[in-house]
Amino acid sequence: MNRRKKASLMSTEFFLAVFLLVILVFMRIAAKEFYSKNNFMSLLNTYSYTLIASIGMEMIILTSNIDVSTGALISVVCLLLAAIGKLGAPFAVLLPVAMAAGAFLSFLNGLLITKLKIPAIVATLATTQIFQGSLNMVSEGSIYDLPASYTWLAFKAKLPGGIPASVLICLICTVFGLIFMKYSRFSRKIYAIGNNKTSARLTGINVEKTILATYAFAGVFFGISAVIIGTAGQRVTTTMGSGLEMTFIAAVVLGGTSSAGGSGTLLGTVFGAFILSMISPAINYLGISSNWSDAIKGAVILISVLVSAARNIKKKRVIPSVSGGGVS
Amino acid sequence: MKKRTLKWLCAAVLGATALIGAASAAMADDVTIAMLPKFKGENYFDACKGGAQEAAEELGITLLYDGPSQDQATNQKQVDILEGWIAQGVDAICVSPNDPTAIAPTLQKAQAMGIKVITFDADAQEDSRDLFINQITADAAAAGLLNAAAQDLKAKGYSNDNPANIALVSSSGTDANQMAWEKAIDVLLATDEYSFMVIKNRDTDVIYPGTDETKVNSECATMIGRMGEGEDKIQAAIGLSSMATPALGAQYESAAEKPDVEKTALTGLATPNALKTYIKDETNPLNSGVLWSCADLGYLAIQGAYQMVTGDITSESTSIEAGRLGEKVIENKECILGDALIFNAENVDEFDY
Repeated sequence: MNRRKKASLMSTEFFLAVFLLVILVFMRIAAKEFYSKNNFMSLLNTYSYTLIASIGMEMIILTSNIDVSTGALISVVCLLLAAIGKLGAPFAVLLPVAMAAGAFLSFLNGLLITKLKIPAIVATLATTQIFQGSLNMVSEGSIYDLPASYTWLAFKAKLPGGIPASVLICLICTVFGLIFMKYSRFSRKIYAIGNNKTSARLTGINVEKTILATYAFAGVFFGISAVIIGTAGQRVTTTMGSGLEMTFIAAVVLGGTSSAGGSGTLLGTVFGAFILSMISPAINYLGISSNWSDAIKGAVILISVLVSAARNIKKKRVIPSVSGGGVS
Repeated sequence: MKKRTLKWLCAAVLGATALIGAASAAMADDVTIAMLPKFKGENYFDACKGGAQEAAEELGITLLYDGPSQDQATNQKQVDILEGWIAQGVDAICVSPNDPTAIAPTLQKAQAMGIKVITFDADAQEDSRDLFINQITADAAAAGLLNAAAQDLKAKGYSNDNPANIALVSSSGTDANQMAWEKAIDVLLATDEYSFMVIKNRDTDVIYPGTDETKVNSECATMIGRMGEGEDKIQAAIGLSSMATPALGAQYESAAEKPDVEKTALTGLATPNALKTYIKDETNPLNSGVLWSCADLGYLAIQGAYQMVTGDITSESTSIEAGRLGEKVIENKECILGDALIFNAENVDEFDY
């Protein structure tokens, strides 16, 4: 085993993977029924929309920004989907509409942050209110009795073995995300900005433009996630995405991404999202009251952040820098 | 000099407007009743509003209807709206409070101004309202829910010799209604008629997923995953909130391996519209839903409020002649609408809410 391999074995992702494996084995021993097909498939469905949106959130957090409006944004997209779904729009129409709407709304967040120089947390807090508020203006609330074409993804679209099709969507998004975040030039700009805005600017990166694009790009993922969430049943209310933003942020942070931006990998988020998605069903199968689920989620995040902080103190991480000048 | 003239002019105009306003109010002798739901936009309260409008037209009164939006269903939002109505000086207020105690001071303030306060759908602190229009007693609601489940389970071969495990999907664990229903359900489960239905483990079989749509959905998915035949499985799930029941139906549809429709049952509280698709689908074990007539509830609330204003009934009255609903009994300042309404594939299309 050479040195480099050793280093990678010490990574956050590795620890998370081990942690996840331990829980999975534990569940196998403690509550065999947890692995029943139904439970595992519905867990995978929850995981799918959580991870897809977390990919977007990861990009935003890496630029040292944040988005707390994601839940409200998803609610807006869901209601929009229901409105056109009621008219009989099939999935092939719903998906691109959701991607475009998500990108547009998230782009608005980006505009406030880059053009008006409003801190991301303030800007997205404001848009949370605006998104939720506008929902109440355009609709009196919920849309009911949606046709079978609308719920196709959740009810009918199954891969061989009964795997929900949302898993396939998630897989495509994740593979794309992993390659994109590792090899694309754009992702290097994202890391550079998160590490140090000023030096990123000095190397010739157009910081504003990059952040704006990041938000729009993340919005596409939020939109895809909204399709899975919104089409889960034949009724859509104005609170479809309420509170989800915290789960996404938690998945990213749990995955080892620094909340200050600049460092962290998507692979960590892939594990983080899975751990968060399985806590709630796991404790139900273990016979523990669901009142504990939020507290346990919080504890898991806290412990993981503390562990990674402790490790970072031991060995100061070398931050990869962007080669100067070349990116413009 | 000029400034002073302007001031006087303004005062004069204001005074005149006030006079005209007062005069027209007195002349028209119009009764204005304001209705405040927990939140706007869900078809449950929309149906209440429909019944309220019907009563308002019948009685020739003005009906104001407003409420917080669904995501802001808080006491503070309700208080804001109430303050506006108190300032306007409406004659009566019908309210379904989000928080029975926190809203009390504002309601008492309205009462002090001579406004009649009627609660409907959910009650407020007793000393802050003149009348409570109760859609259903906890006992009747529990009986309706268990009855719907029992009918279905019996038809699927469960009995005292072959008991069924049941689960309850409640709301957030603090709602007065749900808590009262759960208690009443426990009492009924101990009786001979329903003793073949068992809640095996309270910690995991009575769940409180809250009011976030996605959370309700994913916890209902977990519940469906635990359903099926056998002692360690759940045979019937009962939704206690209008969010949980449709979520059970939807998650059954989404399940990778659907629990045997011949061996499991789903039912619960919801509006007919929210369950229609699942009830009509024969491959879905959700065959019936439970509710009361929301339109009648709104109708009775307005009738009660109007008759309070006109003095036809007072807090001491023991009955009310409620238009098309006929006579309803009032006991301890509480008027009960009636029994639970169980709807199934045969009659679900008769309702539009």
